Amino acid sequence: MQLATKIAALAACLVLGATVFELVRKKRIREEYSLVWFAVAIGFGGLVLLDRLTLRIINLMGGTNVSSLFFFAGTFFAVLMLVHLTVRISEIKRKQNVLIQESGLLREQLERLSRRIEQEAEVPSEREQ
Amino acid sequence: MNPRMLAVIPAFNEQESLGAVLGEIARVDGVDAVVINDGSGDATSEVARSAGFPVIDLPVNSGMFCAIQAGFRFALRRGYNIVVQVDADGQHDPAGIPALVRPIVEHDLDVVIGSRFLGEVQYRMPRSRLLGTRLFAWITSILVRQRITDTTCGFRAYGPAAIRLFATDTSFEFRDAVGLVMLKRGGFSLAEVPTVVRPRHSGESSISMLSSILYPFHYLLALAVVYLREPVRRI
Repeated sequence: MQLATKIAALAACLVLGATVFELVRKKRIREEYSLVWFAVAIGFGGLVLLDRLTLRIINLMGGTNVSSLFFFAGTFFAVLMLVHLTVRISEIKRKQNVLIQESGLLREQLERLSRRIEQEAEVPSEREQ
Repeated sequence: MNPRMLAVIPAFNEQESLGAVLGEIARVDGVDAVVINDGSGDATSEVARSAGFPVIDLPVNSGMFCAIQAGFRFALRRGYNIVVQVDADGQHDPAGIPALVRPIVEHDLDVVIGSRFLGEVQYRMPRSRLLGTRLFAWITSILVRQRITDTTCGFRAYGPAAIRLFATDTSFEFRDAVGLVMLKRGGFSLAEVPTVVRPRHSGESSISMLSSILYPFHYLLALAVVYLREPVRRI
């Protein structure tokens, strides 16, 4: 791997790690979801630094250049992340439906109780008259 | 069974037709009703309240099944043992409720479906939709080993076990044919009775062109999932 390519790839990993860290610090990403992105940044950084090992892995897979391994790993990770996010969205949608239903039911119950209290308050005042 | 019946009416922007539907329900003996306002932007909620019916206002539009399930939760908490699903657009005739619930009251069945294709058929639908409906009914009949003629009619009645299941299981949408197959796999009993479905009082159907195109694929995928999952259990 050429030095310029190495520097660019390492810089990309550092930017990714720093961005995720900043998002966690600002509470825009929960810690539990940030771990996977730190792992990606460290993993890709490792592949860049250990380029001889990277090349051996590529040769074992029948490839000839380093970029093909990064492309393969990147695509595979992106697909895995999409599946993970779909699972999370489905789970959130299910929980959201329950909350929406409960919110409607509680509002109906509140209205019913308020009406009953108003009616009970009216009855004694009518008796007093 | 001493029936305590609740008509669950999911409604989304149905201010024009809802009043008439509620008026018809009020004339059916022994049936209470609850309107589930599914985030309507019109006066649906006010129409139901002014008619004297309880309303569950969902804060945002969440889809037909979410609305119906809110009705099942309401029924379970208020001690109803029969739920009848009635559309707010006036297509379902509430006068048909006694015939719909009879198999549950007299024979303890779990779910009764109103069928537009039994008895004297008056319902007209486009040929392509009719073909699809017949095909789904045929596949469903094979899977549940029982003749089912109409899998998509929403005019249905549910007994106590089905109410408990629908009110508490949030992991799956028990709708249309897939819901019937899932119920049958779980040992629930099904029956059909003839029903008349009328044209809408007003407004437009919520079924879009895209959802009509995607429906067969969704149906087949959901059916496959039913057989890959554990059967539902009576609670």
